[in-house]
Amino acid sequence: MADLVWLASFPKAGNTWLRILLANYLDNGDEPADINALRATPIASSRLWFDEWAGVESAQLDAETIANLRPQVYRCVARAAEERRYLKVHDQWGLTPAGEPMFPADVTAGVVYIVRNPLDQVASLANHGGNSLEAAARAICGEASPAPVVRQYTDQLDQRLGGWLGHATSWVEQSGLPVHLVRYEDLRADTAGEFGAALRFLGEEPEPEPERVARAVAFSSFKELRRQEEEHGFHERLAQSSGPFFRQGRSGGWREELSAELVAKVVDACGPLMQRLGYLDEDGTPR
Amino acid sequence: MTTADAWPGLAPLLADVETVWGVVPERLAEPTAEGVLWQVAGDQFVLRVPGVARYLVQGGRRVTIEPLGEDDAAVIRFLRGTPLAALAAQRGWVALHAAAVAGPPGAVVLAGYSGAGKSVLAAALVRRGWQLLADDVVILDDLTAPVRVWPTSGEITLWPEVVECLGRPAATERQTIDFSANLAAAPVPLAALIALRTANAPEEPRRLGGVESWQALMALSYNNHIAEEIVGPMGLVHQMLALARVAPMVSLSRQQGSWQAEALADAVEGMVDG
Repeated sequence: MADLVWLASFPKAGNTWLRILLANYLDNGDEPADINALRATPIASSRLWFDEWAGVESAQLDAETIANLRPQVYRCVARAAEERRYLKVHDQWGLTPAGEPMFPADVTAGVVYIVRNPLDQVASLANHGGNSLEAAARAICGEASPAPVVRQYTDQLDQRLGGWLGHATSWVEQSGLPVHLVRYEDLRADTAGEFGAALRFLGEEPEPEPERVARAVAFSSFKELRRQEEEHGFHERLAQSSGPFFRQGRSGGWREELSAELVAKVVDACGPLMQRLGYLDEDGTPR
Repeated sequence: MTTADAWPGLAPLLADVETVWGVVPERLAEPTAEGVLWQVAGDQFVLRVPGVARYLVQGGRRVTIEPLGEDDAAVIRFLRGTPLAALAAQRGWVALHAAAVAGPPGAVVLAGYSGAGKSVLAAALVRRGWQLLADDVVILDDLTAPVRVWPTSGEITLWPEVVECLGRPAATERQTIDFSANLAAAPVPLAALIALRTANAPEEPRRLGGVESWQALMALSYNNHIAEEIVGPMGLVHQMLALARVAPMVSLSRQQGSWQAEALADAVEGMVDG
């Protein structure tokens, strides 16, 4: 029996980077973790996990039955685990049709929720799904449901994302779970400091060893991730992606990439939370 | 209900198995392992499919079914999945999560995760004249060569996205297609194991070795948790190693986002010819 940690985010917020940081920290190896063999962070919507723990193929069940069984599948995963399991998740937090939380509190140690300026997420999401900026903006605004990026995976259960605002609100404010909120921009600016804070929240170490954290950060640099992707590819990249998975990772790229109309559309849909997270100034202007 | 009705292709193999309607307990008294809908206690296995049926499989000899609703077809469909795999494990056989077809070289097992494209590839090969052996569960009763692949299903169930690649009208729900006219009448010797995968870039078919072969083998079992509990973790390892000794494991990849059933069928026929 062990507990579960959810690494939750809307797609393209930096979840994979956080997983790579964590894999490098937990491995504590002498060389960077292989991005194509990341240990310990499978996605919570894995169809195989569901099928084997449920005992019936999800392909033969309706969506409501699957949703109702998912919390019990996670309890089985926790019961069978010998050590803490970190699970990536892109689903919104929410209740099953039967009214139970999809991600059960009784086996949850905590949630690390990574949030990113939705204006930057638009271009990243468009690149990932090989979609237009307009289509990606609709997904961010919760108008395309489920977001077009998700339906590509038949090895995953259908996931309910909602839009950027609803997604973040569901995990951070509604879940009632212990949540550590990480802004992607802060993780970029001070990776060791922010990652160390997440480790302290998770109680991995009372005080994470600075050298071990520093090595994990170095092994997870964008330069290193790009190098691995160029040499060996990255299996989580979609075939239809219009560029590499590790694209640029920088913040503020939206100023060159998005039209004024798309900026206004995203701000209109996501504004209240963007302001609280510092992505808008007091006048509601994007920073 | 007779065993022959439940699993027509397996009738000779399951002649000593009794299949009956009856009362099935919701839970086993002292399970040694359990998932959400299943439990194992010694030589007993219970599966509960909400709204469909409860199944009790005992000692590799007796299957009891208690329907919970009106959908008789669903009762049979679920019976042919996990309860069959548990029955096979109790008898010391192997149940693989795979489709299988029979052609000139013998039986070709198409393994892969749910959604990898097993069923659509099997359907494409059947349309080319291959015989169908299995859509989802492959039963091997003896792992000494020649290993026989038993016919378990005359139907193939497909994701709505792939129905069109078989020249059928587009669909929104999963479709079950009747191929009973193409079902093999008897078991067929195993010729090859194909591990179907998805990739984001084109990959050539290749024979797997080393760690990759091992990973692919250990993903073959119909349900690892249940099989491990019934035959023991090492029992499962020995079964898969025995299987690796008798048939080559070849990796075949389709590109994500497209099903490429005909191209994959060409590749399988090319391997067979080569």
